[in-house]
Amino acid sequence: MNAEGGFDRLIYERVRLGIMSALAMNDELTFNELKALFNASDGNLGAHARKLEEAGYVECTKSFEARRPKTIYRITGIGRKALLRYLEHIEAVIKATRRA
Amino acid sequence: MQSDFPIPIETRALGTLAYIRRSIDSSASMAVPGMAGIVMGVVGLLASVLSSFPHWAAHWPRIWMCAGGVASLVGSALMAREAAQSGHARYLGPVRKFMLCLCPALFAGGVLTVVLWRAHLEGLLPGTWLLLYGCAVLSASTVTIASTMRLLCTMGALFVTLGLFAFVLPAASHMAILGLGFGVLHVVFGYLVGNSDHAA
Repeated sequence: MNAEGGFDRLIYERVRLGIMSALAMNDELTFNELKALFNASDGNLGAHARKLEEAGYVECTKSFEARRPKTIYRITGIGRKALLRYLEHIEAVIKATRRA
Repeated sequence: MQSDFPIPIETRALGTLAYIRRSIDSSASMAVPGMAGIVMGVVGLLASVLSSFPHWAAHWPRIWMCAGGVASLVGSALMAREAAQSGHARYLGPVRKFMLCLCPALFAGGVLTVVLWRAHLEGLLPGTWLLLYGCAVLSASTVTIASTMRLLCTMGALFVTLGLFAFVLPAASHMAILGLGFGVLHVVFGYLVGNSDHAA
């Protein structure tokens, strides 16, 4: 698991955090939809998505639609928990700094 | 170039939260182009002017129905263009939700138009159109991006209010109320939505 003392460095990166947040709100999103959302190149998005997939945070299904490859991403249970943990961590940071 | 001043951890955390919110918002919401509202409003104003001419006054339901058809087509075309320009042409999730929220009230409006017209109750048409269009806009506003949601929600509520007024005010005021709603409200809120798009 990519967590260090409760702080998940895998999700910390902007594009990966965006992918996780978008997938948490949608049942599934295609590669092209994510690319349009984050204005990312194929290579950049593919690399980030692969890292999330390797960590078990998202699952990927590849198929063909009208003879064109279609890649669909979904968030996994582990991914959803990791995102919630990350949000709780940020919330705790904000509360702690406001108390100080 | 990096700043020499350290960024407070709270600012960074709030920035991250804002980024998460933006990601969720843009993946689950739809952007409505302000220009669509302005053009639809101009069509509404033209219909209002045409139906106020004594020679055409008797045909006001037909004029307004034609205007409704034209405004729907132009509005849809402008929304499709906006989706294509923003690279979201393949991204149909929010569009589907937007249409699902918009269509039931519009369908009810269409059915009631036929029923009231056949029953020779044309005097109830302006109130019905404004009320149901307002309900459609109110409902659809919930799936639009945060910067326009409040504006569209307010516009929907104003349409509903005008619809209620149309039911109680005399028929002589109906063309003015329709012009105020489908003309002026569309233009004003189209302009405000357009400005909020640029500000976002």
